[in-house]
Amino acid sequence: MKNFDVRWLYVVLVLAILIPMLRPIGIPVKIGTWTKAVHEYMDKLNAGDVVLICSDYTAATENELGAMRDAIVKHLLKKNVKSVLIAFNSQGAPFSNKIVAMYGRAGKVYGTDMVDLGYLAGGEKALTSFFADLKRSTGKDVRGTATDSIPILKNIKTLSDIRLVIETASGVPGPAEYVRQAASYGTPLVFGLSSGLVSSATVYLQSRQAIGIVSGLQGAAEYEKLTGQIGYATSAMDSQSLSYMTYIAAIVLGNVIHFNSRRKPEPRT
Amino acid sequence: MRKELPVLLGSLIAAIVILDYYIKHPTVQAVAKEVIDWGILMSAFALVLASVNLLRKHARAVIRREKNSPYSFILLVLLISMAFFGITQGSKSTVFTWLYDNVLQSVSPSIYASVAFYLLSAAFRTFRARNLDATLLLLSAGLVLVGRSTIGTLTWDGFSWLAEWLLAVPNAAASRAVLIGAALGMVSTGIRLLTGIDRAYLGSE
Repeated sequence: MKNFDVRWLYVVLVLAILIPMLRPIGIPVKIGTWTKAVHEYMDKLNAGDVVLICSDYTAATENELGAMRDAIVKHLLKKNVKSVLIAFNSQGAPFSNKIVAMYGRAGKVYGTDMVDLGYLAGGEKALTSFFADLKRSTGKDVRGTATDSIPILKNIKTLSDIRLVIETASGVPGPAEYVRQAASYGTPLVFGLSSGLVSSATVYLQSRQAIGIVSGLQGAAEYEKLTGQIGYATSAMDSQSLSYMTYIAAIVLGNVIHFNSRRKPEPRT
Repeated sequence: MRKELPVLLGSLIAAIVILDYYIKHPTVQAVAKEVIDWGILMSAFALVLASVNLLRKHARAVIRREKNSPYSFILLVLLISMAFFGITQGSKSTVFTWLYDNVLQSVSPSIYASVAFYLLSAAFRTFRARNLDATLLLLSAGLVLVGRSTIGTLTWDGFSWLAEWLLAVPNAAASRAVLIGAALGMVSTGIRLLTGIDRAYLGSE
């Protein structure tokens, strides 16, 4: 047992992910308090409110955060909420295209119901500049239209004029940067984060600097259940759950081998 | 003067940005905004600099036919083609979007997914109850894994509550300590940079 080949665990992990994809189990998803808090707040938005959606994640986490983004945007469309899109991560900018396409399919008009302001380099400096003056810091949208002439931005100058900030992130800039820069404007913050970033963001929930966190693929599945729009995240939860069980099994097996080897001393040669 | 002037300039610019936080006067805000905009321009330029550096390094590898030069060649082809189509046709063009969706967005998650196997191997080898600290770490990791899975919450509702409590209370406490420590460190480093005590950013003699 001491010479157990860990590659058998790799095989188990692959099967744990593949089998539920081919034959779904349908384990029910339980709603967590953090996701519920986000959903309840967004349910109170009114038609015509303008929110800021920031796509600050990389292509590597698109499968996780894309599902979350889709669930949230479907909720916004249901409430007829308008969106201003921006990215402070260079890889996040193309994901705004998907939000524009979702709005387009729902019959919304670009420039009036949503606008894509592209990517602004500079990390936290870009946040400072953008929140102080949304129009001047970008100058024009991705289609080359001057921000002064875009209808949705007509009454918007600073972050205070935005109803809610929805930040989707997998790295930097992340929750810490947004909390630091958005604090003086009083605009509520909601985070959609990859699982690895959640543990460092929970501090902002207790201090009420953020309303809630949609955490990884599980958070996306919970949000899909709350909005009644079952999608990719829910279908992937069976695979995720079984893969988590594989990790638990690996930990247990590792400890069994460890205690077994401690109990049986090596034979003297 | 060669070293004093950059330090003086750095201190002056930092003072303007710090003043903007405390003094809400139009002139101060306007000057601070201009300074920050210049900072954004320099960040954008740094991206270009990084790309040029990457280009030089891998071009040298290809020309000299070093050990991993085929991979350097592939990197150069993709880097140049994405830059070319992005600059000439825009980031919303068909070719750029195709390259982003079918190359970057396929390869990145695949590399990220391979981390799962490293983590599995690490979980097997290192999460061992060797002492009290290791046992507590192992138990909390296990509880969070179970609590964040649908199978765990189906078995017992309490797992979900336990996982959230672990993240919201002990983890948050430790995170706060790290955040405060990091913030104090940043303040200390900032004061050292602004007063010219630390001149490492000026480079060597």
